[in-house]
Parts: sequence; structure tokens; C-alpha cells
Amino acid sequence: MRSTSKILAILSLIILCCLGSLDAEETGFPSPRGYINDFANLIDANDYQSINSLVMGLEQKTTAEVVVVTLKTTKPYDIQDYSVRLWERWKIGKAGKDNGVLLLVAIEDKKVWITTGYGLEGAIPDAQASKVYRDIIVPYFKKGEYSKGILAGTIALVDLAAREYNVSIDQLPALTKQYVEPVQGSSLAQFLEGLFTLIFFILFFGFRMGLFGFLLFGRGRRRGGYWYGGGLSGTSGGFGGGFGGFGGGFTGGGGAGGSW
Amino acid sequence: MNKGLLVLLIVVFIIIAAGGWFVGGLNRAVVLDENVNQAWAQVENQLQRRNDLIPNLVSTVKGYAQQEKEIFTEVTKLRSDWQRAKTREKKMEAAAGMDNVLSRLLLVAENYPQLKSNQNFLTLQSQLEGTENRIAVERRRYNETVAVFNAYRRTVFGSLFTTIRGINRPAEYFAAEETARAVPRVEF
Repeated sequence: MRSTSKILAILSLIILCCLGSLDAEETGFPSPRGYINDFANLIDANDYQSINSLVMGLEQKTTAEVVVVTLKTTKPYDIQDYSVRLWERWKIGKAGKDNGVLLLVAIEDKKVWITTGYGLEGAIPDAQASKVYRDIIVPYFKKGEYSKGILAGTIALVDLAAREYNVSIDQLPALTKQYVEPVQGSSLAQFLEGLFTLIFFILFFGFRMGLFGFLLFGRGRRRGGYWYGGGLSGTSGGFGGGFGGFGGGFTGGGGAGGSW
Repeated sequence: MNKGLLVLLIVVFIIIAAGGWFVGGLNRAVVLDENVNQAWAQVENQLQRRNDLIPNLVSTVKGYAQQEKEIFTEVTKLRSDWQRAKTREKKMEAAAGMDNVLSRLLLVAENYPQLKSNQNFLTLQSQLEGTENRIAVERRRYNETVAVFNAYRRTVFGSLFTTIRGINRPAEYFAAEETARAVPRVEF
């Protein structure tokens, strides 16, 4: 009897080893830590908290799962290919609903990719995912603010998913205002903003120059106006930085992600 | 204890076990075969989706590049080839041809700056990219199921079971051509 149990123990050990070696074969595919898997240590503690409360809130209200992963590299796979393979291992989203989203950042490859589950393709079509990548994540990443970029991207994705299910998530509007809106904006809005600034600038400058000859008196006041114009153009510079991301984002190609 | 009864019990047990194993093997053959079919259906879905994008794409490009007649005729021909293709092999062939001609069509578009900034064209192009990405994923999954089925078919008993079920022929891999991989990589 004792020998039987010994044999059984050895057998199960062998089986376990086999399973272990099967797992070990899949190097480059880590096990999930939760909704946030910051393997490349990019996310600040504060932003981590914000992201966590958002994705947890979304999951509780809608069952949709938004997962964030940061890695050093996805080599030897292409980032899009890696995302799908990782997804196949992690099985993100609820069974039957396929309502998951994966935001993957590979810091050394300088690539980011948003992958949507079948169930959320309607809520986040490729074009939308591409916008999140290009207009929201890339502007932050270009400035080296990876943590904020990941936070802003997550906010936008959670927002899109929450809209689909028609629920509101605590903190979502406030966070959107704080992190998404400053970089977002249609190209038309940015163009108009730029034009407006230019006109302002010319008007004030011209006004000031023109008035010199007639009214030495108003000089101080005009000067104030001039500086006001300068301030506005500074704001537009910030937008300009976001717009610069447009060109950089396109090179990576792909429907919903790329490099920065 | 009666020795005869014990032997009988053992024989019955062996028969049941062998029967279970036999039925299980037969079922496995069918399940694996069906997995291949299912994976192929997904590939076909995405290929169809791409095909549905093509008339729009062609008419948009035509608006700017009428003189590229040759390529339009070819696209139209391949599209109807696809629709007429009945077998999996023929469909793979048509899809490969389409990969090729689409990448050339997008290259042609490079020569027309106005076309490249056309909103409709940009939308179509991003849809095409999304579809190509999905095709790539489904194609890989299909090939994985093919690998499992083909390996089973070549095992000693697998070959027996697939022969009994009449499905003992290798499933065909859907190889990705280099040109196909180039399609979503058009840069501006």
C-alpha cells in the first residue's frame, strides 16, 4: 500500500513537471497580475489608483474588462500579433460576451496597441481605437509622460465601453476633464484655435504699432494686450504638440495602435 | 471468490474500456476536423468582409486615377473569381491573388496626392487595414487547427479513426504571402 502511494506521488510529480515545462515553453507570455500589469514599471502609484478604480468600476457595472499591460518588448512578435497571442492565453473579457479591451505598451519598441474583443468591436471600432491611440495616448508619450498617457488612454477606453452599456462610472467625468480633454480636439478645432491666435496676435501687434504714432498715452495698456496675445499663443503651442503626434503615429500603421 | 466470475468481470471491463477508447478516438477525429472547418469559416468571413470593401475602394480610387485601367480590371476579375470559388483551395488561391493586387492598388494610390488626402479613401484604407489584421489572426488560428488535425491524422490510431470516418486527407494550410503582409503597411 505504501509503495502504491509512493508511485502515485512520483507519477503526479512527473505530470506536474511536464505541465511546468509546457508552461515554461511559452516564454515571453507572463501570467496576469490583475487588470493592471505594469511589467515595465511605467505607472505612478497615483495613476495606478485612478486606473484601478476606473476598470474595477466598469467591470462591476458592465462586466466589461479593460486590461492594461506594459512590457519592455514584444519581440519576436509584432505588437499586434503579441496582443492577440497574449489575449488567447489570458482570455480577456467574459465568456460568451467577449467584452474585453487590452491596452498594451511596449516601451523599448516604442509601440502601443489597443485590441478589442469581438463584443466591444461595436463600441470601440478600429477608427475609435486609432483615435485613442493617436490623439490621446501619443501626445503624452511624446512628452515622455507614459504614466499619464496610459491613464488618459484607459479613461478614454473605459468611457467608450461605459457609453456602450449606458452606465456612469464614478470619477470618470472628472478624470476625462483632467486628462483626456486637454489633448483631445478635432483637427478643425485646432486649426481654428491656431487661426484665432494668429488673428489676435496680428490685431494686437498691429493695433499697438499703429497707435504708437497717435497716442503715446495708451502704450502701457496696449503692451498688456500684447502680452495677453502672447499667452494665448503659448496655449496653442501645447495643442501644437498634440498635433505633432499625428504624423508620428501614422508610421506604425495598423488599425488601432502603432509607435510613438 | 469464484475465479470464473472474476475473469468475466475483467473481460467485460476491458471491452468497455476499449469501446470507450474507440468511440472517443472516432469522436476526436470528427471534432478536430470540425475545428478546422469552423476556423476556416472565420477566415472566410473576414475575406468576405474585405471583398465587400473593394467596390467602394475601387470607385474611390477610380475618381482620381482613371488611367490605371489595367489594375481595375484585374481587381474586378479577382473579386468575381472569389465569388465563384467553391472549394477551399480555390478560395485560398483567389484570396492570395487579391492580397497581391490590393497591395499594388494601394501602391498606385501613392502616386495621387489628392487621392491620398481624400477622406473617403482614408476611411476605406483604415477599414482595409483592420480587416487585414483580422484576416491575419483568423488565418493563424486556422493554421493551428490544421496542424492539430494533420498531426492526429498521422498518428497510428488517428489514421485509423480518420479513415473510418472518411476524413483521412490532409487539411490545407493557408500560407500568408509576403505581399499580403505588406498590405497594411502603406505609409503616407
